[in-house]
Amino acid sequence: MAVSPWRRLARGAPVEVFAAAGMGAGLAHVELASVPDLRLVASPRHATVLVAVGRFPGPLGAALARLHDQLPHPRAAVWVRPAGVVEAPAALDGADLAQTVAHASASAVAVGRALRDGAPSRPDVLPDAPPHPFEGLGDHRQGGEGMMGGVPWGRPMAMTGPDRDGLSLDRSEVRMGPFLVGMPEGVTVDAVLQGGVVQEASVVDLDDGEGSGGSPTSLRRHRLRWLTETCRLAGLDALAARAATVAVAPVDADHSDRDGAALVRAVRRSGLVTTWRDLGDGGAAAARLDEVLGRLESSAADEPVAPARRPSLGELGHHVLGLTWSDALVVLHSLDPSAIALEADA
Amino acid sequence: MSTTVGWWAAPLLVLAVLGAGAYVVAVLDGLVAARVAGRSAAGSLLGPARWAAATLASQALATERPDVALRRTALVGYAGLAALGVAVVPLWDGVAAADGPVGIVLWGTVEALAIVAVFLRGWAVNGLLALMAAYRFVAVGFAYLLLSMFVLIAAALPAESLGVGAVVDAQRGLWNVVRQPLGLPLFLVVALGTVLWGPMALGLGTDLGEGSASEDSGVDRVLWRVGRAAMVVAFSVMAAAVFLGGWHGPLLPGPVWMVAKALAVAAVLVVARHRLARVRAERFVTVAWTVLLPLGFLDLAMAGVETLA
Amino acid sequence: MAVYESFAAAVVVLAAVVTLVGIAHWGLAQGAGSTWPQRAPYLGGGTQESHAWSRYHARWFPMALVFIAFEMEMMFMYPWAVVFAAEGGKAMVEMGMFLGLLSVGLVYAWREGAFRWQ
Repeated sequence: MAVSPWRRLARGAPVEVFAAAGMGAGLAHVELASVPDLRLVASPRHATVLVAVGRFPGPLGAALARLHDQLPHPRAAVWVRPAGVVEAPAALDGADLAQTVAHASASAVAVGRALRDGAPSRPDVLPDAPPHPFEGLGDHRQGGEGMMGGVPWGRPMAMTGPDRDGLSLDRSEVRMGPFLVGMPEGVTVDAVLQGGVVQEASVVDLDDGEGSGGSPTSLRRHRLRWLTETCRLAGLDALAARAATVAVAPVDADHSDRDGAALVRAVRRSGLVTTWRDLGDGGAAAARLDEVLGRLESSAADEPVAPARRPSLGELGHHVLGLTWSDALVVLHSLDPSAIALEADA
Repeated sequence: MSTTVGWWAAPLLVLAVLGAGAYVVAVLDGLVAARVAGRSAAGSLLGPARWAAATLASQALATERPDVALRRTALVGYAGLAALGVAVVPLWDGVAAADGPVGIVLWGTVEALAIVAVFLRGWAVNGLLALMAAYRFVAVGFAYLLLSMFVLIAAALPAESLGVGAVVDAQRGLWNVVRQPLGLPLFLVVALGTVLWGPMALGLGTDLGEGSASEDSGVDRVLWRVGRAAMVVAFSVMAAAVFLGGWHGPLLPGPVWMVAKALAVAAVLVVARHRLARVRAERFVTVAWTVLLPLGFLDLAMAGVETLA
Repeated sequence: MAVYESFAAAVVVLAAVVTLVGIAHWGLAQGAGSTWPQRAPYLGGGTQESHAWSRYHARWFPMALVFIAFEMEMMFMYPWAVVFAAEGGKAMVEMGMFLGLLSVGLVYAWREGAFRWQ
């Protein structure tokens, strides 16, 4: 069968992957950025393959189902399943299984290329129905009470409410999901936004309390993974790929870690510490970044530690009040709960 | 004074420049990305074509209740504005698509309407992350738009004309980047903002799930990326003409100089994209109004004094 | 080159590119229509009850007013730039006064927090 030149051209392109971290992933999913044939993207609309790492109990599985259905066809899924977990969430039913993130990357490349050659795409997980049935008072189901009432196209319009300055503004009540770039694992935020600024926030921890913390990793590798996610959050995708490569590479025999030092220099020169200066309690975000960079510069080798399960994160809402949503995400990311789980045992 | 190539050949000229230029910019982008990521740059030449072929095969998703007309208007508008930007710049002595006595005014239109196009992209999809990105981009856009106008007017003072061809002719002895050193850096800030790259990728931040692009897939994504590369070409060519002396230069023929200068500007933009972290909108707005705008005033004052002297 | 010729050429270029990109967009679209779960807005796996469209509170509204003031000044600067060299120092002083007055407004806006919105 003759392959069109178009398809032959498409075969060589990197496979775009959306990485979703479940419980016990411990930021391991960012190491996918180190593979040259893959590209980590920030939106499922840009992705061909969904790579899920960890466990997805209950509500986390529902969020994954919503995410899975947002990938355009053709799509595929790969699951890095932790040991001892048998039951797959609905979104990952029939997905390719992998044991580690490294295996998952090879699997993702293979399945992505197969999709381009015409392999069948994964069907939707959720039923094909509008979020609400269209309701209205008129003959054609249009209209509602008052100027903003009713359910046009299946959703109500945002209603007003007071903001922190006392003005009456439209409130966007939203549950920001766990798979946003920079969101700590297993955490959603029920936020009320007015004009992009957080008025109320409550952090919902979706951890079900079962299962262990994750596979053993070293503090240095975790810091490099956190740095990768930080670079992705700051729009520095190429530096993120570099950080992931350094994280995955074995440490030099003479502990010189030239690559790590060069990476730290590049991140400092990007001005990220200055940009984050005003975020977090007393500049905590920039301080955390500075601390991680300093630790990476000083020590090259580290022993692997099996992480404990991370502490419950329900009380973080007050950290992000009054910030714009993007700043709030930076603050949440800089709190880095997985590091707490690692260092508690070290 | 430049002459036009004729109204029928103008679109062909612009399309040729944009087509070739956009692809070159994309290749450059891939090369620099590979270098910064510490990877080999093999395969960069066909990289953009491969990515486009793969992404075009993907489904072009809709959202629940988008504004379809405005979504398409934003896309074609942005690409059309990039073309308009290239059209007002003379590419060589006697070769210009639409170089008239008010080229700089048309360029100002391009920049202002580009802000509208980027906003509409984020607004039209009816998604919260895209909407937030669009609104914060407009704030930043208001902040940097004035910078561009001040530095371009400063460049127009010695030429006594608002046509880009006249500005190039006025640089026969000395390039503007030497006698108005603040002009080019400020113009590059505006370029990064309009193209939504690197430090100014506020309409598209990864912290907002790719912002305005969060709901784009398939053909939308490819055409927007082509449009942004085209806008890079427009800014590179404009910067080369207005600040770097256009086709003037010793030894080498005019077109070679023009291409080299535009490539240099494009390279700076690409490197800035991959090396500099995205700024916070609020912080940038404050810095733009309190630091960069006074620098623009200074640039204008220096240009005025130098012209009168 | 006369103004009208350049405008005509610019309009032709704009129309040509807009048409081409529009046709490319329409012709290259792939895939059947999207199902409802595919069309849900992306929120990292989260949900939102209402539409995203709302009366969004643009906190930078005072800054937009300052921008308009400066933009009106830009309108005066366009013809000013063309006659500047001929008019000499008088033109410089006039524009300096104009910019100075606007800068007073700028400083006031800065002190009043028009550039901060959190």
